[in-house]
Amino acid sequence: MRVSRRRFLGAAAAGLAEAGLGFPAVAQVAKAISPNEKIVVAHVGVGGMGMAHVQWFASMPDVETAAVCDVDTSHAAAALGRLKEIRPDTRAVVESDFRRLLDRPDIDVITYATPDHWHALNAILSFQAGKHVYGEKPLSYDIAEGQAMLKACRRYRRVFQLGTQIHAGENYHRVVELVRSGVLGAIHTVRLWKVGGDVPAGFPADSEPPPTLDWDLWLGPAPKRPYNPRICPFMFRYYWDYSGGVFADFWCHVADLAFWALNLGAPRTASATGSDPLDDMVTTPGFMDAEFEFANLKMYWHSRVPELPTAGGRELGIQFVGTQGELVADYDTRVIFLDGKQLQDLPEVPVSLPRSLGHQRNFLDCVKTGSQPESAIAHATRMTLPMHMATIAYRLGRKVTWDAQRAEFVGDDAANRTRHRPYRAPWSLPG
Amino acid sequence: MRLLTVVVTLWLATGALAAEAPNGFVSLFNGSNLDGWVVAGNPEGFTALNGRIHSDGGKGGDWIRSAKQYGNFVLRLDWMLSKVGNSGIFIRNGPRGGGFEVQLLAPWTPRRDDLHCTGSIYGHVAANPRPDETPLRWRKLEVSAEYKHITVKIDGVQCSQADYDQVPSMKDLALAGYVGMQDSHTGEGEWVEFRNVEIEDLDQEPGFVAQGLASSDPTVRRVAYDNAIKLGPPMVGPLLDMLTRGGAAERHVAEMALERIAANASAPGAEAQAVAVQASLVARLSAHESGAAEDRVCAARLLGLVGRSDQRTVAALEKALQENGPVSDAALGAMQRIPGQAVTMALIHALRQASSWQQPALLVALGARKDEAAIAVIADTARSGTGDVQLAAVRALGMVGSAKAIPILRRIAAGAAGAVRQAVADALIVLIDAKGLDDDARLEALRAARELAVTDAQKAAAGIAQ
Repeated sequence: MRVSRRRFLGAAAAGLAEAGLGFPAVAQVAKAISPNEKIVVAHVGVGGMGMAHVQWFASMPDVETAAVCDVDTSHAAAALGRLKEIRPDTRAVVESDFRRLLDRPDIDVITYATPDHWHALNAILSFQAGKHVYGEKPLSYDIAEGQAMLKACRRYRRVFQLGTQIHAGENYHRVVELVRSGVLGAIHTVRLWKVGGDVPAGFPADSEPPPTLDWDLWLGPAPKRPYNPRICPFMFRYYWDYSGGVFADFWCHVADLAFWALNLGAPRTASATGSDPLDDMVTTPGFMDAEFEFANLKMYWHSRVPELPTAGGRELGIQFVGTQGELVADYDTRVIFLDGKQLQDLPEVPVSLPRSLGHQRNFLDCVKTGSQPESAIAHATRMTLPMHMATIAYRLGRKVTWDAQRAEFVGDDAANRTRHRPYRAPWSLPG
Repeated sequence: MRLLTVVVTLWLATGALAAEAPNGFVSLFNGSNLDGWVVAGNPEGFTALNGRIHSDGGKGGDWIRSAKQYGNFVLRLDWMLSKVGNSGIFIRNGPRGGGFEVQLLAPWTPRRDDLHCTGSIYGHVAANPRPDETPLRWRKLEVSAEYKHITVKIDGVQCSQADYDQVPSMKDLALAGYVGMQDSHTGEGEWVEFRNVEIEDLDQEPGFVAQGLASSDPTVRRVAYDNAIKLGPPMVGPLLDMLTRGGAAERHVAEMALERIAANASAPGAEAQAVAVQASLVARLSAHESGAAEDRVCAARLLGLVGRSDQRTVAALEKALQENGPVSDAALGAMQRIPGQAVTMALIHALRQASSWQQPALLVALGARKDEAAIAVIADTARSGTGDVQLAAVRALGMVGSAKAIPILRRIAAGAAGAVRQAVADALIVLIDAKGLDDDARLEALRAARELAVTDAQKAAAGIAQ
């Protein structure tokens, strides 16, 4: 019997669907924790933002903290001290290598606040070990990492929340409702900005790392180099080898709102200009302006307050410009410009989005219910791609064009090479 | 004739060794017309004839400028003024000013002061010594402009000099602009003539630009940085030199400039630049020098962006793999990025030669290249290797993204336990989503993973109810 090609494909597709091969729009997570059970959490990278993780999660009654882990044992010790103030009876242990946490079957959740160049490995190795993940922003160090994180999260059916806590706030929810209501008309322009970039690091000499720090593990997949106090702690953000400057620090907080409100896909192009820092050892730009072309709108990033009458001097902001009106917001405030008036709200726009119980609470609830949290991996990957595109455009000094179907740049071999920065052995990116 | 050849060769050799090119001057004036010049005012104000540019008073020519802008240069010309002529040479001028003028003047009544006489930097710096101003004879002017430092010589004698930081009225002047000549702007009947107008553009000389990058003055560093990037490929060698001998600030600027030059050379359509940059990088990577290796690390890394899989490049990278530390790390990174089967073959060759502690990194690099040509050798290593080597080979089999890896992984798993079995399952789970696989192969990977899944996460990935 002759089987038509069409019929064969249909059968194969059905088989794939049955086997869970295709990605459902919202990946169903295998439920592992019953509502009454405690969620066992371990924290990785507890020196800076990670200390907030320790406190946030320890203050949740259904969380038990199993470990605090840091490549600098002094950070881990300090975090344990803080934890003991909140949970005097804690049995949490101190670890320096997060891979040891993955071997512990009792741990349900890994949270990390490591430098950007560690995020993908932290997340993917955790997924492989069956852990749910609350990970700091930005999502990934490069494009390939983001794609690998997305695949692994869905394939291993884990819950992932990108730590963009502003997302949970009332203001962002209301802005989304206002923009989506259509009162501003069709949105054709979006401007995002965050002031900053110049970092007075100077050129201090390289030195021996502090005795408490495992410098090689801190570097991980990044190129080997001697320790320098202006890189670690905290300043890593201003070096391409580990992050992408103020832009990569704040992009996701600001872009989050635009991608959420407008349900944006990938931009077609990105271009960026700025100023290379020559007078300090940092490598990310002193300022950077980027421009993106989406199917139906243009988006801009500025690292200085844009010269707009409506910007109101905000050092951080998001501007939606529609055919009927305009809305400018930051984390906690918003102004609607409509018919020559300035308004805080429009009572005729109904409250339609469920409010968040808090970014960490939302994540923990999803760990229990198996649904996807508010800053889920799909949203995080979508909104982080333009950040990587702009960084690549800036570093290559030219406009880049993205083919979303093929997940590659068009007609630019070098740009495609930069989709992934090769890892230093023994590390490798699965996928 | 033979003697002449020897002399010329010797001269060339000396010239090449000298810090300054023996004669980097190019003529700005073709002697017969004003092609390459722009007259700001009435075009009739300037004429070209018999090797001279002539300007008559009262014609409103205003000034004539070069087509191109210049930042750092030496400008030479001869000039002659009529009896009470008045002219000048504009330096770093925009279309409407912004630069300064070196005054050219005949003796006037009343006598002009030293701040406005011939050879003065008009209104900013007085001439000292004041040159002879006798008109109707040819004189030689040389103006050198090196960042903030200006020197004016007349007939070989320095008559003024300035540093923008030392002369308050000059501190905001532009550091680049047009060079030009003022018309004869005394009355009818007076005139000025110029000949032998030539310029040495120092910003075209890599040695000069490199010196600017090492300046302690941030403004100078920034200008030199932009010039280095504009100059492109010829800067690669001098910049790599700076990486090994400069201080931290100098190394930083050099590395930033190298990244920009490599990025520009990697642009679609910049083939010639890419070839030139690659040649310099390969030469450096192949140069064996003991001591600091920052230049070779950087060369290897940048080859990851602009390198092609030609024989010389691949050979240099493969050789660098045999070294320890950052040079081989960078070479291996470049070999992950450069397309072409020659690179895959070189990595396979290196893998066969490598000792067991080097093999995991090579296997992962082969996996990251996603080149099916490597499947067989990775599979061999996965079967025969132990410990970290075997684990890396198993991971690499997943990374390559080929259906051929599935039966191989199955066979390896059959005899394996613990970490290897777990790694095989994870590699198969990666393959389920691999780009190059058709639906049948993906289903096959899924089934294989399902049979093997040892952890809860792997079971979830393989769709096994827990």
